Amino acid sequence: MSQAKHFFEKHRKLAVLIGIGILIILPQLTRSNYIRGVLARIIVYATLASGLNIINGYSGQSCLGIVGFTCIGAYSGAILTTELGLPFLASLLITLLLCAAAGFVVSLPTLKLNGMFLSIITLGFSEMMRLTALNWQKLTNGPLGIKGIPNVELFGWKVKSGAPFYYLALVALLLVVFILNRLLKSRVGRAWIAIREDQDAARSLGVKVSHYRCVNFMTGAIICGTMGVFIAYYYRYVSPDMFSLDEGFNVLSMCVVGGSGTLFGPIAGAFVINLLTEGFRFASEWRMVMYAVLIITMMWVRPQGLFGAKDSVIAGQMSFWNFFAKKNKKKEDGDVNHIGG
Amino acid sequence: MYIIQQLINGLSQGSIYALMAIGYTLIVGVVGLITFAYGEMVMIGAMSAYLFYTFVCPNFFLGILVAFASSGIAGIFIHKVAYERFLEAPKHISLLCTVGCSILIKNVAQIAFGSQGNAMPMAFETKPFYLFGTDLYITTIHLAVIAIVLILSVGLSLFLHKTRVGLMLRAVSQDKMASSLVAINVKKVTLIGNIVGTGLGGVAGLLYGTYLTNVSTVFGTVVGLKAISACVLGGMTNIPGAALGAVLIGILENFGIALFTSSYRDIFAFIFVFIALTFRPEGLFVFQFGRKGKGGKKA
Amino acid sequence: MKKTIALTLAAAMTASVLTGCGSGTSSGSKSETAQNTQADSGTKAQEDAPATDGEESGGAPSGDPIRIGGIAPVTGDKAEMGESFWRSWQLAIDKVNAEGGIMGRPVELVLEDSKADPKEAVELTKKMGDNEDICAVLGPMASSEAIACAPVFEEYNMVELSPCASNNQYAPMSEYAFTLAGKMDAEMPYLVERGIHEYLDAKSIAVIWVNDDWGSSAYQSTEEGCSQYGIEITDNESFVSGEKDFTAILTKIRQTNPEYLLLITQAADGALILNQVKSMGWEIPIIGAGAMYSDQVILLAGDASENLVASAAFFLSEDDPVAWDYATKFSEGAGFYPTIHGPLSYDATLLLCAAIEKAGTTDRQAVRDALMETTDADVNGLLAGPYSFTEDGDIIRAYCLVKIQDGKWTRVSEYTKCSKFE
Repeated sequence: MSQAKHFFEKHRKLAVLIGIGILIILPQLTRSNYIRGVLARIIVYATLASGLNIINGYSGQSCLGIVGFTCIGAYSGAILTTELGLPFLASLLITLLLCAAAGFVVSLPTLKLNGMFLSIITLGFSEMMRLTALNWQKLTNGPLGIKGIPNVELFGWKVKSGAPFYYLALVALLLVVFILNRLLKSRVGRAWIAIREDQDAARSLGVKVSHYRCVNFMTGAIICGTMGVFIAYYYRYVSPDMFSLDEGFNVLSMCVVGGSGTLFGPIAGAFVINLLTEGFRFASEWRMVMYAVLIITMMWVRPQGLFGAKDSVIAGQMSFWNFFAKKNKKKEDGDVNHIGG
Repeated sequence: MYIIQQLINGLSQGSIYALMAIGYTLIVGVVGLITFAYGEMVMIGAMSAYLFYTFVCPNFFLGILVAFASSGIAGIFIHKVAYERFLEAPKHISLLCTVGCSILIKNVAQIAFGSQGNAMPMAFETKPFYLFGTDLYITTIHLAVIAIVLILSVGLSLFLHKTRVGLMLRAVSQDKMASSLVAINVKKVTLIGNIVGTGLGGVAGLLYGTYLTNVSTVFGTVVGLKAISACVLGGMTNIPGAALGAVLIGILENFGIALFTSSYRDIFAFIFVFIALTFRPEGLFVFQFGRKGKGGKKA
Repeated sequence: MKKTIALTLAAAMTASVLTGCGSGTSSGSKSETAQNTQADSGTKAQEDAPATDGEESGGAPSGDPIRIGGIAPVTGDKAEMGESFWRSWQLAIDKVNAEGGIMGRPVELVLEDSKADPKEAVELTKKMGDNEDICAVLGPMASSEAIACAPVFEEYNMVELSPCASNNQYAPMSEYAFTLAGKMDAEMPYLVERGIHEYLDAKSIAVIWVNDDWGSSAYQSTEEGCSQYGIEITDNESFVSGEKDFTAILTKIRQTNPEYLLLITQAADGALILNQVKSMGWEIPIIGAGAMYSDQVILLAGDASENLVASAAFFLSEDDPVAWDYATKFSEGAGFYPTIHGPLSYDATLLLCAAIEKAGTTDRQAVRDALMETTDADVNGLLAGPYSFTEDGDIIRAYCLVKIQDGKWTRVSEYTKCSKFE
């Protein structure tokens, strides 16, 4: 095991390439449309969890209302497509702008807030979006939802559900991970992490905390919103029930189980959580009980998430946010200084 | 006249929220962590009181004891599972654990008791009292709820300020490190605080069930959110503030419904919290002597 | 060390789950839950050896089972409604098996839990579509689920027979979408015309409706009906499912002083409203939409429910031995008497089995075509007939008015339709 770890640490790029290779081959291993669909959904959720990870993992906020942005995104995607007949990319672009605006608006009252206050504000935001979708009958068709969303069409290529949609979602995921990776190594990412570690210290070093928190929130909102469009196209139907609080906690658990504050954690988390909920179907009414027990067990066994530790297999230097910071406080401080400076 | 009637409705509803918010604030204060299993505590209190009423005897005061005890026991479970290990860890871990507990308790309860509504046996008769010979009325349940909430709040306040355990609870809620330095067993005290908090939630559940004349295994979730909102309005660890915030939410909701429609109920509550926090980020009722500016990092 | 264990654990879980999925869909055999609930009669019948080629002769069925999918909420907030569905499906399938199965083969229900969530329902539809053994699907429950699933069913050419999706938009969506509920634009106009206008002769009503897929369209039909008969709607108030405290709405409605109060709510919510109306000391006669016809109302609201008038697609009484037999069996398992969803689900199963028998094959397209032709004449032991599908795949029903008198539901009118469909 330790040899394998050593190998991964030495050849990070190779490991990542192998991982991507596995992701590409995965849908070819089965002929079942259902499993391919589940895989596609996992990829979408992995991207969603990555979006949440930007806010929760990298800038240390505690946002619980990510599904609110997904709701905006899904509805805007659905309405633009069914009412105005816009193609996929166009509605994706418009949704992106819309979600950036929404992220900006929500971030305004949250800039001064921290911890639980922020959790509640975002939680409330998520519920408000759901209730708005439910009540704004003229635009959203109320509780009946919007039906008849067509399959994705890209430059004349019809992306069918199943494997083609999987690859489309995979492209989006890799794009997001790539951008995130670049972002985190840039000035912006370093500022986020500095804010996460110590907001006051960051401010005293000249980091514009409000500005970067706002940007951080908007980035997360954009990713989650565009994933909303993917969700709308994946189910080809949107309704307010799809964006309940449980859904938000589901995404949060993917992020945390995988390891928040790591690049690949949310992806692993999405796989584990989704496969568990699908795989436990045989348990009938005990399914959710088993799911709950497993989440608690994971938290007990590995509170920092699958990829969460500093010396984790693949995460490497991306995951220096060690949860049990007290044990190696010195190391932590060194890292922060290194990155902040 | 009509407005005053809605005010009375809001007041009685707000007082139930207040009891939940008081319990919630107590938990958040001593544990320092947010919980999402609180709605389930409310449900356990209501369900156990219902079972007690149907199978043993419909005595209102024994029912309160039963609700307090069973929710308190569930509180111990939550404490062991979600808090004790993670007191020092980042908050989202225990947060997720409480979400897990909530799913667990809700589903187990559903498997055991089904999800249908059950008629709450009435411990006393419900009838409206007309005030001053006008159309305005207040029902016996409203009166009972308000009275019990007042009694419990006063009791809790005495407990916190006049007893040794209460003193320890307040100490832990202010600073865990300092409390352990003066030889307070922090783990034990957080456990006690948690039991009292969840127990109060259980009593609130009983009252809510009586108020609605109906209990079921799925009714906790919505009210749990109200408790959180009220707690936030009060500034997280400020018990009178939370109670006041809860009553305010209850009244505002009812006025909102009077003006628009009930579909928007939660929107009103959250918009109010939104606006309040924008202008007073440390909580609506936190003044100079509160723990200003500290809530963010600890909570 | 811990980390290694955790990683291995996660990997093992993932692997087991993957293989679980794989085997479940490749042969579609063992992983289904319905087998737990498969009642004795079915399995016993299977164990009995050689089949006396028993078409409808009551001989024991043998051979490969014919699998019918079922999508219903087994867990979640709607689990109670879901129980009406899957218990009734299983009861009907037991009956079919006891009578010799379909084409001499036993029938088996493959039940999946949708939690009443459209997202889950779509996944499950795909899962069932991939399983070649499943020839048709019962469910899903709610209109929103049914609408979300309809395009997927069309892709698989598979019958989607929802027992109670009553939304007007659902059945015309595809030729594979069927419902037994009777369209919303037949039920609410019936209640308005025959009930509110003729039976009660009301001039003004106030409406409280639940803001979900069913309630919003029911309210729209009510509004149209009321304007046709000159009934004034003094106030309409909607609430989100999960709302428990109605005093604010009721206080508001009381201001407008209506003659009657119409509740478009599920039984449990309706019972809450009845109780709260009573504790306000407000004496107003109350009318309920179809879902209010349920014993649960009497159970939860007690005296407060007296004189409640409701419309019903099917009246359950002890005078009808077939229905009563079903209801007793149902309540033995469930602990409560079925609402309207139960008999509809039961009938849906019998109709579907008859259609498969008629098609003589488990080919999905053939089953669909046969179901279109199937009427109540083809099936024995239906509860809430008559049935014959319109071109869209839905049904125009006759309704009756029911009323709570002395703590019991009694029927107060014959089965009729509203004048629009007569």
